[in-house]
Amino acid sequence: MINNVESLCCVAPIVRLGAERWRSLGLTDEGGTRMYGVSGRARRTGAWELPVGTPMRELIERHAGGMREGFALRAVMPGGASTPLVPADAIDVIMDFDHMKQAGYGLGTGTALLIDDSVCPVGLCLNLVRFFAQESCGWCTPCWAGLPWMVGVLADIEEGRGRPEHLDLLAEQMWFMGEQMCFCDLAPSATKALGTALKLFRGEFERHIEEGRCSYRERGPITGAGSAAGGRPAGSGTATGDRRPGPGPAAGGLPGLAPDRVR
Amino acid sequence: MATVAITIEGVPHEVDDRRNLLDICLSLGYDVPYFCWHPAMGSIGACRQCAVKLFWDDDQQGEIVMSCLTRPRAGNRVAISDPEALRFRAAVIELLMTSHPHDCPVCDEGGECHLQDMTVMTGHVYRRYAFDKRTFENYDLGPFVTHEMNRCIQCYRCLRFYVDYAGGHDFAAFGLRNEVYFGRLRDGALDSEFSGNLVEVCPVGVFDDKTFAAHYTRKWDLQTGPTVCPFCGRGCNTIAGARYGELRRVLNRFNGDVNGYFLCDRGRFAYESVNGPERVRRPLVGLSGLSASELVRGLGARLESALGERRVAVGARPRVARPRPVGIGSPRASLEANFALKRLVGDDRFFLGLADGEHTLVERAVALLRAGPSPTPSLRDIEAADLVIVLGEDLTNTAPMLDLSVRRWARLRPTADEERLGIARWNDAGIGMVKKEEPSALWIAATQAGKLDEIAAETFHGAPDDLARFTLALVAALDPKALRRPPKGLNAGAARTVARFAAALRAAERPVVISGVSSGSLPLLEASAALARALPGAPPAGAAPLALVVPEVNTLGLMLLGGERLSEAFRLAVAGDVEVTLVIENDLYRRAPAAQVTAFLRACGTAIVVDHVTTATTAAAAAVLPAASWAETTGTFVSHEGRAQRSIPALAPPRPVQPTWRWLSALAAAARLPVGQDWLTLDDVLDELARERPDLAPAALAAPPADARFVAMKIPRQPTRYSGRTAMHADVSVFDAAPPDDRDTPMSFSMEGYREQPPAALIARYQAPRWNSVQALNKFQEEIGGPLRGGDPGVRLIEPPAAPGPPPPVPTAPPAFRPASDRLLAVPLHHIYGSEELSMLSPPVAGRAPEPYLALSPGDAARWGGREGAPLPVLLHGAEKLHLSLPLRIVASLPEGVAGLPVGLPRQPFLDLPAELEIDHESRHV
Ligand code: SF4
Ligand code: SF4
Ligand code: SF4
Ligand code: FES
Repeated sequence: MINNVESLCCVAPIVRLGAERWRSLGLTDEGGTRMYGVSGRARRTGAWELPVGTPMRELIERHAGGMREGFALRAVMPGGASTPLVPADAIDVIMDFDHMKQAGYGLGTGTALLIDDSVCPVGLCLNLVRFFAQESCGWCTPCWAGLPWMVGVLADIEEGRGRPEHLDLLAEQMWFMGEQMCFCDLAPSATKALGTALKLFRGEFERHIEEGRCSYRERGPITGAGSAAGGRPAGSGTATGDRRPGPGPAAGGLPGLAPDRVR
Repeated sequence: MATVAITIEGVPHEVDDRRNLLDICLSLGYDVPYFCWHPAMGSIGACRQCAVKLFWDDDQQGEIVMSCLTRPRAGNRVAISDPEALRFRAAVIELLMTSHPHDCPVCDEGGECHLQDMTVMTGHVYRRYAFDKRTFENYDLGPFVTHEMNRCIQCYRCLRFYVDYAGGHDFAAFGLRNEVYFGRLRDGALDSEFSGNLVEVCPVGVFDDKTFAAHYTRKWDLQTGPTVCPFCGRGCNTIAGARYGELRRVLNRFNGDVNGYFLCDRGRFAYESVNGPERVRRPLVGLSGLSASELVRGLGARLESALGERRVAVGARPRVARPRPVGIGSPRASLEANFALKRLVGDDRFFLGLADGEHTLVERAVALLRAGPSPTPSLRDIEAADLVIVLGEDLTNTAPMLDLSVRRWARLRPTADEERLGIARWNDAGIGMVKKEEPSALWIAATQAGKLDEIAAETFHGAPDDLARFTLALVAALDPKALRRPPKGLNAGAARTVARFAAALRAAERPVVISGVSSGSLPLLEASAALARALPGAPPAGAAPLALVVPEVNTLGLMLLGGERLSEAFRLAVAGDVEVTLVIENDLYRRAPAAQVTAFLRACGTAIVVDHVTTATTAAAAAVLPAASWAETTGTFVSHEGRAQRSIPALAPPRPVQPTWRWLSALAAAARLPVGQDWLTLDDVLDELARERPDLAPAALAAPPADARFVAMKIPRQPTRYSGRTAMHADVSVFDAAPPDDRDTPMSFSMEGYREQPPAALIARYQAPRWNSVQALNKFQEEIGGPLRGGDPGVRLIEPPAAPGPPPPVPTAPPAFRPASDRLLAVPLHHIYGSEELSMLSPPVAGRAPEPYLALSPGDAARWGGREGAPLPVLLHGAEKLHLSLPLRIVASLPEGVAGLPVGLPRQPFLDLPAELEIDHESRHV
């Protein structure tokens, strides 16, 4: 069953051009075209329909016009929040499913997010993991219980309360959220970016812990990451005062669904 | 099934590939921790606690798999103690503990907590999580079950049990991530009749027994006994726990043929009468303060003089009738107590103590079961069925655990689809999905709607006679030659319904018929048996299994023993033929119209009642002897299935309380009767029963005899850690009293004794090294879900004859029900909370019972000008005319011309139903 818009959009050209012609539009065996996108501090952010197999460098430098003045590219999140980061020196990678996978990344949505040198990698990871912690359906333990813990740890590091053992703890949780270990793909996906960030930017994590602060913060507000860091793990209610998750004034009906319950 | 060769922990095993690895490992005795898997509800893969390392062929790396979701394949190597698997399992506990309150000291689960056990088993000890815990507020879930959501580990068992298996509608999982909230939408009593199972299903202290909390004791301080639930005819196996001479709680005791892993809420929460103010604790006689022995001597003398004539005229009936004693038995007393009474008064002077209508029905039910060819289905037989048809029984209220069994069957019944799709039985989500697509295989015909209707393919509603006609029409549809005159005059709608039912029945290969006496209809009973005969069944019977529901714990045993009708005793007494009357464990006011009972008690000479609760009958008696309650006495009870089961008490009766049969033996001795003088233990009574009644002899085999020893020891009722034994009675005496002696069973009221697993009938608690919660049951079974080691307890007293006799004549259909213009037919309505006598002495259960009411169809309500809730005066034409004024309840499903009256409620006279009822216009207008 095909149910996503991107796939359905391919139907018309395939019918119009015929399968062979459409396939020949691609640069690699996978064939065809795809929507690619770039966001972040590029000169021209946007989305383009390009042949499948366009190298990432071409996407960034030709179509998006390279980085804006004063910003240097450090890594690329190639296809959404659940894809591992591609380091800046590896952007020659070819963007089709197979090549990306071979290289250990993932094509995902094909919409690349550029991570530049003004972005705190810790805050970025915090933001991502918090997102997944909030999206967890609550079924399997590594996910519903592991992600909030990681959010807490990342928030601690980001806010200057990090401790050296935190990095091991994060690594351990990531092992724990391996693919076999969870019921679905959400938790394994949740830590893909963090996994590569811990390799690419380990020094940054360590510096946060050593200095007990986030040096990016003093440079002003950070776009996209960390701004909502409240220092509380996602999903944790208040520790004091029992709050009924049920139909209270704020709950709008269903127990457990109160929008204010997750801070 | 295929057997595949695998190794577990390096040991080769041949295993069944239809099972999952967790089940296999546990069945083989390996310890693998788990939470979300449940032996009766399969696997869902949520908790990830059951991880093991699996190696394929010559692979050296292996992979972590969830054992509960993994089928074994030939050549698999399973490593439970692989370091990575160990680390993974400890990590799961560590995560589950992140938000856990760790309030074991004040948690009712403490000491029997699966989370505690699993935590210790995985070795997680040190807390690293340093953030806030998520907290919840709880709801008041009514009188039975507590709620402490902070302890929840999100295993989803409660939801699966309550909604998927028990069919509850007022329970859900709300929210997501680490804040899933399990409970109701708002405060309020849980609506399901099976809510108490949450206590055992929930592996932590979220749902616990609220009645137990009111007099809480740790499991290790409970003295427990393997009891049989006394609250209906199903005979579920229970474990009753006591401390300080008080009954504290009831838990499930597994019996794969009867109740499996579950109990109904009546069975679990209705035990309070044992402790309550209604208890008879000492002899009650007029004004005098006689001691028990003085009283027995006095009563014995009365008995002796009453029996004088009989003793001289041994063998021959005295020509000149002289008043003689009579004995009235009881369906809530044990087989032994009833037998002892029967011996004491003689066969012709023993009366069953059933209401007359019920007597007729149960007598017929026993005859039908004995004649065969249909056997009674056990729980396992029901679970293997491919169709179930329920006739005239509101199972939810008349045999609640049959309701749950049918529900579980409906969810799990084996079908071709799951075979074709290769979906394993334990794959709960998969099976659930398949079942959602399949049409229901449950068919119901009843007087009015019941809770089971919602999972039925179709329900037919009609007056009892119409149900019988409907059933016979099904017989005729299945076998056109079976009936000489098939019922005519079913209207077109009913005829189409018959056709649909018949089509389903015709296609069934393993159907089960469930009927019973609750509707009070003899024609329906007969028709049900005829339907079972017309349906296919396993050889040698060749007919479909037939379950007949009877109301009380020993109704069937009493009828097997046999005796005269209660009305006959009344007749004798009023004729002046009764001198002394012995009533055991029976409130006659629940069996016959009050005027008749009062007249009888006036005319019956000295009325001696042996009972454990005060009743209207004890109030009218000359003397009351304090009987041991069901939780204090050993006895055999025969369930509706014909299964004789031994109930072994949790506590010793406090002096002078003793089992009914012992009182009878003492009375016989005082009366110098040659009866019962060699009854020293229960086994002596059973021996005599076996001599007198070889057909009932197997009853003795329901449990090992009292002199059985295990390595020369008895089986202790107290756990090894039982505390305070030398101090608990220090307020009475500082001397260390010897534990009470149990002469009737091979169990002791102490901590000392045989510590290995006892025979199945003597299991008083589930506990095993490293397993302190109810989950320890796994260790007592031959395999997961399978019978207890050595076989599930109980002996069937009725099996269909090997060579069936000539088929009984197929009953003729009663005439169609035509409501008279000025009369209604009142039929009995049963209530799980309300209709049973002893359970209503438990305040939590009584609080859930309805007040008496009158149910009418909307048409009749309009016709008679009744408004919902407004009292309607009626005149009931039963055995006696009865004026009642009852609030009206409009029940849409009741057929026109049929009224419903709840039966058995306290504060309500005996209702002789079915009976005609008219709206009492006269008193209405005064
Ligand atoms: S649920 Fe178990 S582990 Fe949790 S507080 Fe209660 S006894 Fe302790
Ligand atoms: S309440 Fe108990 S059974 Fe329900 S999900 Fe929580 S821990 Fe499991
Ligand atoms: S179904 Fe009957 S025997 Fe079973 S637990 Fe309920 S009341 Fe007791
Ligand atoms: S028991 Fe296997 S995942 Fe929960």
